[in-house]
Amino acid sequence: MLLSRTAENLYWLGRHLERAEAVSRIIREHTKLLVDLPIDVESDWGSLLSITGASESYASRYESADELGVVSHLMADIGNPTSVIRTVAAARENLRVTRQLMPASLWECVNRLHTTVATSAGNCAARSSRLELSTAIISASQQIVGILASTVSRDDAFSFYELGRNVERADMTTRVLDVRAAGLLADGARGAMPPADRSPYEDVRWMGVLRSLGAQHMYTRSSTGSIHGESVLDFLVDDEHFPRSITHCLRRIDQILMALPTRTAPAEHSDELKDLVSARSATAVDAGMLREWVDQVQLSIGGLHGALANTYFTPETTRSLHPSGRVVV
Amino acid sequence: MLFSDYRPDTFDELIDVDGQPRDAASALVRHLERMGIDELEARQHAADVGIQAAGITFTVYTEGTGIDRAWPFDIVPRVISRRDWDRVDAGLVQRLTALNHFIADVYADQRIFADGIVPFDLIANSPGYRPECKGATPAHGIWAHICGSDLVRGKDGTIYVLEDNLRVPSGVSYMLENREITKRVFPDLFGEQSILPVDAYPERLRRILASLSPQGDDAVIGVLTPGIYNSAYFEHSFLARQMGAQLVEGRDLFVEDDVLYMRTIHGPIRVDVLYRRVDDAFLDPEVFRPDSTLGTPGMMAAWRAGNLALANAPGTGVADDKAVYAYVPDMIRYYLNQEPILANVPTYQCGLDEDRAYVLDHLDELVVKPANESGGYGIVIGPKATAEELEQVAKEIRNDPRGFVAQPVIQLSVVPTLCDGVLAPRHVDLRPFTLLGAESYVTCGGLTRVAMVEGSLVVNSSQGGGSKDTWVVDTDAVAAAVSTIHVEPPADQLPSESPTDPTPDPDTQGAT
Repeated sequence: MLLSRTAENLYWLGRHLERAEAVSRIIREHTKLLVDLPIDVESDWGSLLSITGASESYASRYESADELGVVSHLMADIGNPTSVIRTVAAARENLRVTRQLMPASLWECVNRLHTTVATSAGNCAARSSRLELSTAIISASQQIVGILASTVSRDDAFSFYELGRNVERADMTTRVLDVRAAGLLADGARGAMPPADRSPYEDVRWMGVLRSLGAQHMYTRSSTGSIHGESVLDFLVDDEHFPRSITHCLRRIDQILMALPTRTAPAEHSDELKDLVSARSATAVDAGMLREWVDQVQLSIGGLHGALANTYFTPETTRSLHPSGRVVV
Repeated sequence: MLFSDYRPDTFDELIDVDGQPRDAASALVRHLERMGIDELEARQHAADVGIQAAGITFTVYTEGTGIDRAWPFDIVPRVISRRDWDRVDAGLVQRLTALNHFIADVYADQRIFADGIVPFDLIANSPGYRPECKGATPAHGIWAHICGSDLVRGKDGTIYVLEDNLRVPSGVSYMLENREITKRVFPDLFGEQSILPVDAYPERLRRILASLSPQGDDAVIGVLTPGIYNSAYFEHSFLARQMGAQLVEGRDLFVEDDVLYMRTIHGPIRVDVLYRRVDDAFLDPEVFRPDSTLGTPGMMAAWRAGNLALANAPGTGVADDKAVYAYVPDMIRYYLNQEPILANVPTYQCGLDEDRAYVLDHLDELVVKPANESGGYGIVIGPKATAEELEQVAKEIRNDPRGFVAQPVIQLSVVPTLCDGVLAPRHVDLRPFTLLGAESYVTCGGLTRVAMVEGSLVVNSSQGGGSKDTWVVDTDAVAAAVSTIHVEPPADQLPSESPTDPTPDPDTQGAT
């Protein structure tokens, strides 16, 4: 028995927590990447704005995308709805109205994360304190995931949290691919060049793509030979075992939907997404085509979100009652 | 010594007139003295950190915006002997029983008015009186299932009932949280004496709510909250969680064919019982305030049709009114044919000519209260008020005599409280909770609220008051426990199994 409103709060709890962790990781890995790149290579902080969808809100208050401006906008700007400080606050608000369903330790942990971010997000200018803060946020998120994984029953309430998390995850992976992978591929279409002709930093950059999704180690474990764009793409989109690959997220969504009532509409969108994803491997590795594909996937994720909302969050009140007047669950 | 400079000028709950600890408080006072002020402050700090981490909050409103504040808690408990408490327990049940007879009477035959015990115009103009409730017959004939009473102790040690809060009284979650914190801060003290547990409340409440529906234990129970911006939202969430009930808002509910449903991911599910924490006026826009978005159209019809139980029932506010309060002792005699166990504070009705004349002549000695406000709002304490304030309240009384009552100032009792590095006497009241349905239950103690400002009598947390854990100590049980402790334990017994260790780690309980 799960209220529609509560289901929506739990879904957003999952999305916001996932997003706070993802954005923190992207900031951390980009900061670390700079250390490995030569000084004359443009550090491209603007790409972080594109990945997180914050380009517009940023442009409305800053002139150029420099390190300090971008990092504080993404981490600490309460005027940016996708900033870490805002997403953590939103996660906390969504948990505050659902805490009667969740273990007390989860509330304490999210509350602590919120306090950490609220008090330290302003100190992210210096790279060392920025790395410290982003690592603290990632650790807290992992603790939160651990509490949920080990102490919460796998019932409807958990399902909606998990749906939110996987929808957000699939979305974030496509965003990273859109900006990073397509950017790399477009850099002179080097994907087809023999390894010797590639920029020595290209490997570092592809590694950066993997790291920004926490995928580097698992990629290395699963693949052989040198790192290159095509296999990174294959891994992040198609790998069946890595929890942040798009395929894995979609499978998880599918599994969860199987256990939910009245799932026809969301299941249709989930099928459409899976078809789209399997269609990609047939296309060549080309920046333009990748972008087009990512656009379609993101539209489809939006469709899935809409179907979940219409089916579960704002259902029509006139849905037929059980003849006894008592709905049997 | 911790108490060497401690000089209360009125009844102290822990220390008697000779400066000696009262019986029930002696173990606590000895323990505090052993501990010393530094250790006490360290534990207060630990408690504050724990409250912050657990997010135990209440909401304060200033200029339309709500601020979430950490729950204010003083670690020195207030102690009551079990013998005193048994009398209070019986007195509270007696009182709530009589109040229920009164409410049922008001909405049925109105015998008490016909018999001239209570004047009818007292309720005719009361905002808590809901003629819409006439003729309704709630389960077990009970209207007010939950009562939060405000008790105070005067200079001579007499315990008075100051208010019977029958609408949507709050505080019980803080009572429970205060005990949890105290157990963590003073784990050793719970072993030295018999402190009655308080944690049965949510289960007792759930049982009483379930008993209001023909479905019994299978009843679908909801806690109806006005939402996150309500000052007691924490408590609504806490109780829903503790009872395993649904926490619902008006927008989650709808009525069809006089049956209340909630919107769930499985479609509409029927709700049998609502523990509503929304005031009458907002429950049903079709019957009460048409602009209310907190309630659900049709809810009153569902209630009247007997398809939905509401706790407390609508209309109970008629008995939660400071003018009606004055008649509670008469109600006890009239309906129960008993003498009141607990004392009322003498109350002057400004609606009566003679009383009003006296009140206007003695404003500077009396406490003037609006008859129908809660939360301590609008109270004027005569001896502390300025001449302008007294003039203002005199004007208000003349304009709306029925709207005010006045009482002599009760010098509230004090409890040692940690203030700026010393223990100092601070005034307290006590809010126990009484449940009445197929069975009755009174919390063992209640929520002690403390005025943190020296000399202040205002204890409301919305106005800067703090809180304390409240211990009902069974001094007879200690003697029994001590005699069993002297039984030689087997040589191989682990220290953690010793009978003096009362609080095993909850995580390891039942692990073996």
